[in-house]
Order: sequence, then structure tokens, then C-alpha cells
Amino acid sequence: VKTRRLWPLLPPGAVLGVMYFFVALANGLGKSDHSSVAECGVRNLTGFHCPGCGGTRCAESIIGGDWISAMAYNPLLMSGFLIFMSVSLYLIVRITILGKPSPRIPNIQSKWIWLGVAGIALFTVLRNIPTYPFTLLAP
Amino acid sequence: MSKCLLKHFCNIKFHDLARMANNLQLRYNFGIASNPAFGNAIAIMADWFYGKDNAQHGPVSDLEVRNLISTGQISQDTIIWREGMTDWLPMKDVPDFQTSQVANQGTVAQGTPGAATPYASPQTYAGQLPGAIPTDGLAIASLVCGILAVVSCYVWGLFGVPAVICGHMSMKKINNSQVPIQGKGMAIAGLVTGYIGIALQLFMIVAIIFALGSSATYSP
Repeated sequence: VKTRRLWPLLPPGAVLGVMYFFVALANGLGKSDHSSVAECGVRNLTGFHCPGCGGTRCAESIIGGDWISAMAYNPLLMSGFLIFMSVSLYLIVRITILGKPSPRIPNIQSKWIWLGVAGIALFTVLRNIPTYPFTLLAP
Repeated sequence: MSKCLLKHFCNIKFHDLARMANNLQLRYNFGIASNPAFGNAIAIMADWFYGKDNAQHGPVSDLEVRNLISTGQISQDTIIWREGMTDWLPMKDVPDFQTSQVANQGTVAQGTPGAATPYASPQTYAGQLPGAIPTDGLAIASLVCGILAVVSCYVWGLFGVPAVICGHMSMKKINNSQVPIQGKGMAIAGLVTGYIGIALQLFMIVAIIFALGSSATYSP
């Protein structure tokens, strides 16, 4: 009897759960009439957009199905979300539905991680530049 | 240039000859004929034992060992033994499972000079680059959580705490390890970002308490 392995369902479920929790929390912290969600403490203190700024509105748009607005609020998080969901879907089809063994995880070289960190840092700098092409990156 | 090439091929030939001789010797020790097909026919019935996590596992059949290899539960460095072998050997020195690897990766093996023998050189089936120093998974987890901690509003601590825990565990592991492990820089970065996240969280909690204390309308 072939047993189905269900663990590939966990990560996307957890991410969606965190997103719902986050949106609910932001709405709970916002004004009681729900006219606005809470503002980020970092933004209030420093006036800068951090790489996660617009994340709540992005999550709300994803949940609401308006993925174009989600891209406008935070391109980085939206791209990450799309990549993550694609990989999750691949794993679910491969392992849970087709029952194939999980693919070997190659040894991740640290330079790729640092490249990712540099990418996030660059994104943070660019979205804080207040001239036209860069304002597209700001929420 | 031509001399270099000649030397290159001579080296490969010599390498392969030595390997073949080694395999013959192994097969003689096992009491198996040197014909690979015949050898495999016998091996299917063999019951193997393998060492994993400081414990002996088995007996498992030839097929089960292949399954364990394909699912990554045992590697080419796992030691393995069955009746008739003089001593435990790492998987990569046991000919029975090398033939299966070559059969699975036929396209890779055909392009290499070593494909003249049924046994490919170790580089063709090793899962990763030889000599590559592995990166600690905990360090990567720490850095990822640390980045999420800095960018997540209101709930910095939600990712900051795991980032700090993973970071300290990774640092301990890397510092105490006999073999080199990459990822110390990532662990440090994860620790720094994790602590920043926790500091922001504490700051916000204090700010809320003050705001509630002064009974002012406060939007965090």
C-alpha cells in the first residue's frame, strides 16, 4: 500500500495562515472604525520604507484576489510569494499526488544567500528614492 | 598540448585499470563472479546491513538499499556490509550499487571516458561537488528568520526569537565541529537581525504600555 505523504501541504498552509493572522492583526490594531490599518512603527519613527513596507496591503490584496495591486504594494514580497507557491505546487504534485520521492536538495552555496541579502538591501535603497522610476517600488 | 592530452588519457587508463583491479579483488573477496550481470543476479538475494546515526540497521534487501539511496536516506559515504564481506565498506566502494548508479545516469556516464568500464569515476555520481564545504542549514534558517524579523511590522519578535535561537545553535555547532562547516557569517547576520527584531518588539510593547498609561489615543 502506497502511503501518501502530506507534508508538502504544510508550508503553503502555514504561509496563508500567517498572512490571514497578519491582516487580522493589522486591522485589529488600526482605528476602531476600520477606516485604516495600523501604521508601521519603523515608518513612523524613521520615515523610511523598509523592505517589508506595504506588506500588509500586499497580503490583503493577495487574499482578496487583486494580485496586480499586490505587486504594486510590495513587488519583493509578491515575487517571493509567487516563487514560493510555484515550488510548493511542484512539491505537492510530485510527492503527494504522484508519490515520487522528494528531490534532493543541493548544497546551497552561501554566495547565493548573500546575493539575496544584497538584492533586498538594493531594493530597500531604491524604493526610498523619491524620483519617478523608483517610486513604483514604494507602496 | 598533444603531450598533455596524451598524458591525460594515459592517466585515465591507468586510473580505470586500477579501479578494475580493485573491483576484481573485491569481487574475489565476496566470492562473486567478475561478470557484473552475474554478480547482480546474486546480489538481489543478499541481505545488507548499514550504519546510520551510530546504529546498525538491517537486514535490508538489495532493492531496499537502492530505495534508501534514491530517497537520500543513505549516502555514498554510509558504511554497508553483508555476509561474505571481510569488512564494512562505504557505499561508494561497493560495486553492486555503483552499477545501478551508472545505469540510472547512463547519459552522464556515456559522455565520460570512464564509461569504458561499468564503473564510473566517483565524480559522476556524487550528489555534490567534491570538496565543497557544506553550509549549515541552521545558519541559513537564522538569516532568513532574521530578515523576516526586520521587515515584519508589529510582530518582529515572531521571527526574531527563532532567528536568535537558530543563530546561537548554528554558532555552537560550527565552533565545536571537527570538520569545516560554512555559514558562520550568516549565523552572525541572523543573530544581529534577530536581536534588532526583538529590540523593536520590546520598544513597541513599552510604547504601547506608556500610551495606555497616559490614556492617550495612540495608534502604534
